[in-house]
Amino acid sequence: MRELLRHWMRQRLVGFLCAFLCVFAGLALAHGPGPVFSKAHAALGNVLVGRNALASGVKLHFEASDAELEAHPWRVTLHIQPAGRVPAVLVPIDVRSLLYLPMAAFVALAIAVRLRSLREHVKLLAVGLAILEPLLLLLVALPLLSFLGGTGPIRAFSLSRPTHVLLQISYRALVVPPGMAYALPLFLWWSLLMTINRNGTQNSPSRNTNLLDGSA
Amino acid sequence: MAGLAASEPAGGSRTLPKLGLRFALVYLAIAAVLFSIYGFPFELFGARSDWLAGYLRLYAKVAGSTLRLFDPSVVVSGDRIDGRFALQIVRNCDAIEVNILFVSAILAFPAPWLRRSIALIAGLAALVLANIARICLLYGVGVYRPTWFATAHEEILPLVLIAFTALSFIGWASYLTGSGRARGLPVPGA
Repeated sequence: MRELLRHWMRQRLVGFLCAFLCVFAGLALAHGPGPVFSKAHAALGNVLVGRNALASGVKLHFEASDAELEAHPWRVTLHIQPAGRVPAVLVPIDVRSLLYLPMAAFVALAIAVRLRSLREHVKLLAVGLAILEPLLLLLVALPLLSFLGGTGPIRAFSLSRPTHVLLQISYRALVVPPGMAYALPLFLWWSLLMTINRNGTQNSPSRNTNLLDGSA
Repeated sequence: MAGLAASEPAGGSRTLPKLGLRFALVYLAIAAVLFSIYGFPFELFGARSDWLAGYLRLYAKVAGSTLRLFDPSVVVSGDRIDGRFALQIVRNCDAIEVNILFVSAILAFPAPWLRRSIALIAGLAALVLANIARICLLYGVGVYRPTWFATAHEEILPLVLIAFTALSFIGWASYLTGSGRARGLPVPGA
């Protein structure tokens, strides 16, 4: 019986991995959404930083122009314009590795896992992406904050040394690609699945489902 | 990780959330400490060289020696591997993130220390071997398909390494819970 269960679990695992790879490959190979994705995130970045200059007089602006996107479809450039006639500092941000691929990995995990109903899949995707997007944006902001706070050539604002240490550790541990690009979506997916699984078990104990065994 | 939930018996839904929360908190604490050590910006305190330089050179040496089995032209100098394609082993090439994630998970797992030690040593060795294989593969990609290098390096192989780590942990969790039956831990296939 135990062997039979193991064999069944292994089959489920292989099925899950194949489904994940198919969905992820489909999303990762699709380079078409690059310009739209970059423009959307440039616009979001501009909403977040606002139009006004910082107290130091430094102005921040995200740009993803058509000309730039032709050569680099996944690039958003942060223009840091100091006060006066000093030339702007440009910081290119690769939104593919920092934002798109982790989200694609999460979507693929959420689709590949076997759940009880389509509704649970939609719930997992919606809640997961609603958490993942701001989390990834925050992680992208960490090195920028450190850069603008004194480690870069233009000091837009001042940060204390402990804040710099915290930002640098978070950046090196969680942001520097490719290290954790896929670990964060995996953790989020697993945590949400545990929650869905627990709630599902409480609602209907006879139809207990789990990560690799969803369709009872 | 998936194996934890997959191994949960139907009647164990009351024990798993408690075990899960404790495991998650200990896991996060250990990972935070290890990541803080790894990522600490010593240069902000006047350090002139990376304290991991020696470790990275050793990594380059091991990877270079492995590559020399396939390509005698490979030469290692410091953290550089030169041959038909040049590689430099820098931070993150050592796959320290997945090592930290794996070590934290095994240390946080409620199991006897002897079993945890075995899982830790064997699992880490497997991860190092997997990473050496990744570096060798990258060298091969660089030699034969240089245009694919960035995609392989930044998109495909990190995913493979994370998947390998997760599956490796599922395997070791199965071994660790083998002793957990008496302590009320979930036992796979039981």
